[in-house]
Amino acid sequence: MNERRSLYRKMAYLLAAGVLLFPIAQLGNPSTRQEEGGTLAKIRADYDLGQSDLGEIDPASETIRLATLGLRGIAVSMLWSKGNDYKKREDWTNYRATLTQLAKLQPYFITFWRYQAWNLTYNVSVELDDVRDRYYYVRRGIEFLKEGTKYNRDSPYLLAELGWFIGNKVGRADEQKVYRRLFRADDDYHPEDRPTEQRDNWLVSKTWYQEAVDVVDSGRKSMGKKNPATFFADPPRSQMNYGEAIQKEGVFTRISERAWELAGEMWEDFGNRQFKSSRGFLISMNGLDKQQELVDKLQADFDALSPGVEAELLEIRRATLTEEERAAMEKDYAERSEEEVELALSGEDKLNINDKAIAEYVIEKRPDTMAQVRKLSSRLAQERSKLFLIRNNRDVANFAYWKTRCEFEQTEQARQAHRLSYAATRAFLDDADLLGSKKLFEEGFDLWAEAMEQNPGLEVDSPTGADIAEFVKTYARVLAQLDKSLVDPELADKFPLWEVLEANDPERDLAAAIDAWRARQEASPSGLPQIGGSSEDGADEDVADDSQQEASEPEGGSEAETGEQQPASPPNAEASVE
Amino acid sequence: MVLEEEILPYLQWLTGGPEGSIGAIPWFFVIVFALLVLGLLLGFAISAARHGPLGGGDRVYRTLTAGFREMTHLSGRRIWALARLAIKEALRRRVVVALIVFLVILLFASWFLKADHKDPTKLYMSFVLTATTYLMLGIALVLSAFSLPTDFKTKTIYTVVTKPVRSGEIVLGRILGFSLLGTVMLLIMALSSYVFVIRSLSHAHEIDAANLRRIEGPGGEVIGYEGRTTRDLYHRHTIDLGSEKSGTAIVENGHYHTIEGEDGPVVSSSQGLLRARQPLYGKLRYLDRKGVDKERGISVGSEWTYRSFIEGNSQAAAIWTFRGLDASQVIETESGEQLPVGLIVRVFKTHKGIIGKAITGGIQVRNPETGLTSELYPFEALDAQVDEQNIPRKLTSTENEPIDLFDDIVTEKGGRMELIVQCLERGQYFGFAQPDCYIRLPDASPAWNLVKVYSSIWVQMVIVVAIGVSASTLLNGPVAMLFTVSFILLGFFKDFFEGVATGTEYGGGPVESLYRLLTQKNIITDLDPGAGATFIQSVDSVLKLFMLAIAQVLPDFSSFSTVGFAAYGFNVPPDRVLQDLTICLAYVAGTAVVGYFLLRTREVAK
Amino acid sequence: MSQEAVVQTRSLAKVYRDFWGRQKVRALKALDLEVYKGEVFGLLGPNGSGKTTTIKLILGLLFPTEGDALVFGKSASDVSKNDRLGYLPEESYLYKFLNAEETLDFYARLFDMPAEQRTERIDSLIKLVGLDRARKRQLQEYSKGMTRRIGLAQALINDPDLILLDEPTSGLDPIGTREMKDMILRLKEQGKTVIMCSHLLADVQDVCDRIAILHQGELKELGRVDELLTIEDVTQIRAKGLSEDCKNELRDVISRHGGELQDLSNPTTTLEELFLEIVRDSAARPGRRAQPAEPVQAAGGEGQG
Repeated sequence: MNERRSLYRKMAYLLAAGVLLFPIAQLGNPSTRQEEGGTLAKIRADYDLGQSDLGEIDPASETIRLATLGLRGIAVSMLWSKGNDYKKREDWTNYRATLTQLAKLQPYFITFWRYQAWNLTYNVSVELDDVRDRYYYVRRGIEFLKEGTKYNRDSPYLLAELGWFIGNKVGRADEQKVYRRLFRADDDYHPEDRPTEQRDNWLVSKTWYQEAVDVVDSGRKSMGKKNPATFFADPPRSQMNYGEAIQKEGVFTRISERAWELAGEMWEDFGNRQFKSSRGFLISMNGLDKQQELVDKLQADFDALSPGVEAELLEIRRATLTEEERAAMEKDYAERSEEEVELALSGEDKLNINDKAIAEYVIEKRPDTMAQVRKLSSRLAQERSKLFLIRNNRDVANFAYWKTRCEFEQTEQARQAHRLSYAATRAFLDDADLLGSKKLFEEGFDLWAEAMEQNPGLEVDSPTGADIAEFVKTYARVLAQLDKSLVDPELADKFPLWEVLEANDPERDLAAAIDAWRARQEASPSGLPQIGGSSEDGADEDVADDSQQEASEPEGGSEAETGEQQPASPPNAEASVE
Repeated sequence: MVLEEEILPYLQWLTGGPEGSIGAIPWFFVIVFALLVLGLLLGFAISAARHGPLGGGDRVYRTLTAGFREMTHLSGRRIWALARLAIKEALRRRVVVALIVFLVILLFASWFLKADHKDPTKLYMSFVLTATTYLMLGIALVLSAFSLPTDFKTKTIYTVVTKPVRSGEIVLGRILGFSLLGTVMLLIMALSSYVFVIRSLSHAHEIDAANLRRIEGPGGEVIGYEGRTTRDLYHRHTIDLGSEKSGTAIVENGHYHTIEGEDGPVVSSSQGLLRARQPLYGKLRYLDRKGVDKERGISVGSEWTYRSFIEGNSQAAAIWTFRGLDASQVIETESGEQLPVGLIVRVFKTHKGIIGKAITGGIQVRNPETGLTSELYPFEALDAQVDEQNIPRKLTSTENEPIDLFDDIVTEKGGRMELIVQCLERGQYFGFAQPDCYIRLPDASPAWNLVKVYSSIWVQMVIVVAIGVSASTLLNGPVAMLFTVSFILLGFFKDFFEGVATGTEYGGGPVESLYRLLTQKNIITDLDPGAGATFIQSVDSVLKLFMLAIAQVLPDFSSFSTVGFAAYGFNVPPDRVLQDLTICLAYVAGTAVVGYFLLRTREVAK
Repeated sequence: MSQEAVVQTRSLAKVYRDFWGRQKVRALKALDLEVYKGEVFGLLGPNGSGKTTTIKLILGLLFPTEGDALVFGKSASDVSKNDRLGYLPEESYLYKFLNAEETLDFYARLFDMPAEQRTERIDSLIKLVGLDRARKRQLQEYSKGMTRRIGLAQALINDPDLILLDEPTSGLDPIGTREMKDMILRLKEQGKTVIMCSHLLADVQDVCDRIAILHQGELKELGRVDELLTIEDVTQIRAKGLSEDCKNELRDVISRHGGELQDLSNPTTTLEELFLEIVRDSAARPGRRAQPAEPVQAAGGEGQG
C-alpha cells in the first residue's frame, strides 16, 4: 500500500518534470540555418543579442566565466553595483580593479567598454584636482578602451571611440594645452619607435579612426549603425584638427603646411569614396555635380518624350476640382474652417503632380511609348532620390565647408594671416608689446580678408570665422589698453573683417563697435550689399573682458565637460558618435 | 583614510558615553533579557501543548534550573576533548583543501590584479584580505553547520551524550575546536598573503646614468642631479639627488626607494609599501561663511555625504580640537622642532581657476582656553591625498609676537589644541571629514598592524562558527548551513535590512517589494491605494517588526572589516580591536547558551 | 539479595510522533520495571517490541511521553547519572577516524579523568577486550567483532556500576558470543548491574537473572529466569549412564505414582518455547499484561496503553 503510494508520487513528480521540460525545450530551442528556433532564439535574433563576434579569446576570462557556474549575470550585476559604489566613494583604485574584473566576465560586451572607459576618461578624471592626475585617468580610460579592442578585435565602434577619446578628450578639453603636452611626452603610452613628431594626439587619433575605416573596408566587420558620412570623415577630420592645433601652438613651418596639404588630399579621397547610403545606393560626396547633371539630363529626356505634358495634366487635374475645394483653396489659410482645411488639402492633393503621375498620363495618352516612359520615369525617380541623399550626406559631414577650408588653409595669405595673428597674440600676452601687437594684428586682418575673398565658399559664420573673431577680440583688448577702441571710426574703417565679426559675436562682447559700424553702413549709400542683419539696440558694454584665461572652444558643444560637478553622461548608443 | 564611523574609546563604548549612545553592555543585557523572555514563552508554549500547562511549566522550570546548575559544572577537560575531536574531524573532512584553494586564488590573482594603479598596495591588500575573509567564513560555515548533524546521523552522538557531558560542553567544544583550526588556517593564509603582496609589489628600478641631468649651482659647481628611473611595475619615479648621487626617489604609487651613489647610482628595493600610520584624531566642527558654529559644512551635491565643505575666502573654516598633545610628539627637522600633521583636503571648484595651479589654503592653531591664535600659514591643497604638513614649534601669533606651540597654544590640562583650516580662494571649496586631519604619531609596526587586521577576520570567523554550531544543534546540516548563510548575508547587509525594517529604504517591506518585483513597479511611486495596498502594508508592518527584532541580534559583518586600515596603511586602533573581541565573546557566550538549551531539549535518539 | 533498585520505571510510555505532531507509533505502553543492584536483567522481545526504546528512555536519549525513568534515583534526563553508567549501543556508534587508543582517550576525557588514570585504564581495557595488537589502527579498518569489543571497552571506561548493553552479541561469532557472555558474568561477579536487551534467547537464558519479555510495547512476562522456566507439574529427569533396566524401572516408578512419562530425552531451550507462546498468546489476545512478579512497586501500573 505504502509502496504503491510512493510509486504514484514518484510518477506524479516525473510527469510534472516532463510537463515543465516541454516549455523549456520550446523556449530554448536553438536556431539553425533553416529554422529560426525557439522563442528565446527568436528574441535573441530580434534584438541582435549574443556574443557571436569574438575577438581575442582569453583563457583567464573563459575560466572565470565558467567558474561563476552560470551565475555570471548575478556576478556581473553585483560588480557593476560595487563599481558604482566605489565611484560614489571616490575609491578610484578599487573602482578600476572592479572594472578589470568585469572585463573578464563580460569581455565581449561593447557597451561595457565604452561606458566604463567614458566614465574613467570623462567622469573620474574631472573629480581630481591636479591636472596631472586628471590626465592619468584620461589615459586610463584610453588604455581601458584599448584593452577592449584586444578582446573585440576589429570592432569599428571601439576603434572609433579610441580615436574620439584620444582626439577630442585630449585635444578639446579645457586642459587641452596641458593634456596635449603630457600626451606628447608620455613615453609610457607611445611605442618606442614612434617618432616625436608623430606623438600628437590628433595624429594618433587619426590612426585609430583609420583602423576603424580599414576594418570596414576590408569587410571584416560592418560599421553597424554608424553613419558613413561621419564615420569615413573621421580620419581626415583628425588630420585637420592636427593642422589647426599645431597652428594654434605657433607652428608655421613646412610641417603645418604639409598637415593641411595632407588634410586636403584626405578630404578629397573621402569625397571620392563610394559608400552605401541609407537607401542602399552607392553614393559619393564628390558625385554631386555629376548626379545633378544626370538628373537634369534625364529630366530633359523625359520632357522631350512628350513636351508640355505637365501643364496639360495640371489643367486636367484642375478641372476635377469641386466647387467647394476651389473655394476653400482660394481662401486665406488662416480663415479656413476645419472643413475647408480638409477640402483644401484634398484639392492640393489633386494638383500635386509627380513624375509617376505624369508618366501614367503620358502612357495613357500614347500607349505605344509605355515601355520607354516607364523605364525613364523610374530611373528619374531613383536618380533624384540619390541626388537628395548626396546633398543630405554632404550636409551631415559639412563637406563643402571643410573642402573649402582645406583649400583656404593652403593659401599663402591664410598661412601668413595665421602666423601674424599668432605673433600678435604672443606679443601682447607674453611681451606686453602693445604697439607691435596692434600692428601685427592689423597686418594679419588684411591678409585674412584677402584670403576670405579668394575663397568665397568660406562662409563668415563658419568655424574659421569664429577663430578669426577670437583674434579680433584679443585685438580689442590690445586697443583697450592703448585707450583706443574699434568704435573709433578711424580704426573701424581700416578694419576689414566686420562681417566676420558680426557673425561671430554671440556674447556681444564687441556689440558697441559692431553697432556703430552697422549704423555707419546704413547711413552711407555706398554700403556693400548686406547679409541681412538688423541691428538690435546695442548694449553699451565695453570691449575689455579678461577675468579668466579660458581656453577657447572652436566647435562649441563638442566637449561635454563644462564644470566640475556636471558629470558628463556616458554615451548611450549614439551620443558619442560625432 | 575613510572612516565613516567614529571609533569610540573602549570604555565609553562598553558602558555608554555621555554622548547619549547606549553602551554595549547595557545593550547586551537588553537583548539577553529579550531572548530569555522569548525563549521561556516559546518553551512553555511547546511543552504546555504536550504536557498541559502545569506539566509544561514544571518542565520549563526544571530545564531552566538544570541549565543554570550545569553551566557551573563545565569541565575544561571535556571541552578540550570535544574540541580536539572537532579538529580531528575537520581535518578528516579535508579542510586543508581550503588552503589549497586559497593558494590557487593567489596563484591566479594576477589575472585580475595589476600593479598599474595609483595605490597598488591598497588594491593588493584589499584583495588578499577580502579573499581570506570570504574563504574563512565559508570554511567556518561548512565546518560548523555539518559537524553536529553528522554526529546525529551516524549516531556517534549516542556514545557522547551517555557520558557525563553537558550539552554546553558539546557546543563550546565545537566552537573552540573549529575556532582553533580556523586560527591556524588564518595564520597560514596571512603568511602566504604577506609573501604574495610583498613579492608582487617589491621591485627595484635602474637609473640610466646618461639620463641624469646635472644641476649646477650659481658658480657652475655640481650641486645635485635630477632625472628619472626606468619604468618598472607600471611606474617610474622622478629623482632628485645630491651631489654624491644619493638620495631618495620621490614617492610614487605609495612607496619610495633610496638611492646610493658612488659608481653609478643604485636603487634600493621599494620601501614603505606597508605602513601603519598612527593618527591622533581630533573632533571636527565647522564655521560657516559668517563664522557661525555649525555641525556640518555645506554640501556640494555629492551623493556621498562623508565630507562636507567650507567656502573659500570667507570666514568658513574647519576646526579640529585635539586632546592629549605633548612635547614628545614633535619631530626634529632641519628647521627646528615641528609637530607632524596629516591633512587630506578634497577640493571642489566652481570655476577652473588657472589650470595646473593648486588652490591655496591656510592653517592656524589656537589655544581653546585663551584663544591665542597663530598666524595663518599657507599651504597648497593636494587633492584627495595625505599631505604631510608640519607645524613648527616656534610660531608667531596674530599679534606678531613669537609664541611656542607647547607653552602657549597647547593647554596644560589635557593637552588640547585647535587646528583651523581655511580655503583662501574665492569660489573654491575645501571638503573635510573628521578623520581628514590628524597628528601623526610615529608609525606603528606594520606587521603588528596586520595581526590586528587579521584579528578582525578571526572575529568574524568565530562568530560564524558559533552561530553555525548552535544552529546545527537543532537543524540538520544543509538547513543549518542555510540558516547561517542567511545570518551572514543579513549581517553583511545589516544596514539595508534595518533600513527596510524601519522604512528608511525605498520600496516598502518584503511583501510590497515582492509585489513591486512581480509587477515591475518602480520603488519610488506609491502603491495604488485600495484594499490590496492596505493588506500588503499591514502584513509588511508585522513582518517589519520581526525584521527589526532580528536586526538587533545580527552581527554587522561589514563593520567588522578592518581591511580599509591595512589597505590605506593606517594603524588599527586598539579600541577597535578590543571592541571586536568583546562582540565576539558576546556572540560566543550567547550562541553557546542558546545552543545548550536547544541541544538539551532535543531528543537525541529521534 | 539486597533490593536496592538501580533503575526504576514508572508507567513509562513513549509515543513517536511525526513532524506535525501526529501520533505514529506507540512504542512503549506504561512500563513498570525495577532493576536491582547486582543483577543481570534481560529485556526480551521481537524486533520493534520496545526494548531499545526502553533502553534509550533509561539513558535519556529519548524523553518519555508519560511516566518517568529513574536511574540511581535520578531522572534519566539528569546528566550526572552518566557518571556511573556504561552503554554499549546496538551498533558501535564510534568515530571511525580515531584509533582504539584515541577513542578510549576521548571517552575517558569525557569522564574528566586525569591523565595517569586515563592511560592506565585505557591500557587495561584494551588488553581486556583483546585489541592490544590493533590499538593504533583506525576503527574504520576494524571488523565487526573488533568494533563490538572496542565498543564494550568504551562502555567500561569509567568502571560503571550500571551497564546497558543493546544487543551485545549481535554480529559476533560463537567464540565472540561466548566471550561476551563470560564478560557479562564477570561483571556480575564484580557486583555490577547489567541491563541487556536481545532477541537471542540463548544468550539471555545463559546470563540473565531476571528477564522481561516485551511485545508490541507491552510487558508480557517478568520474573526470574529459573522460575519462569519451571513448569510446576512437569519434572524433567536428566541423567547419565543409565541402563535400559534402570529406565524401565523409572517408568515403573512414575506410573506407580500415577504419573505419566512423557519424554525421556535431552532438554531443549525452553525459553524459546515460552517466548513463542507469549508472542502467540499476545497476538491472539492483545492487551493481556504480565502481573508484577514481586509486589515491590510503589505505584501500580494503572490503565493500559
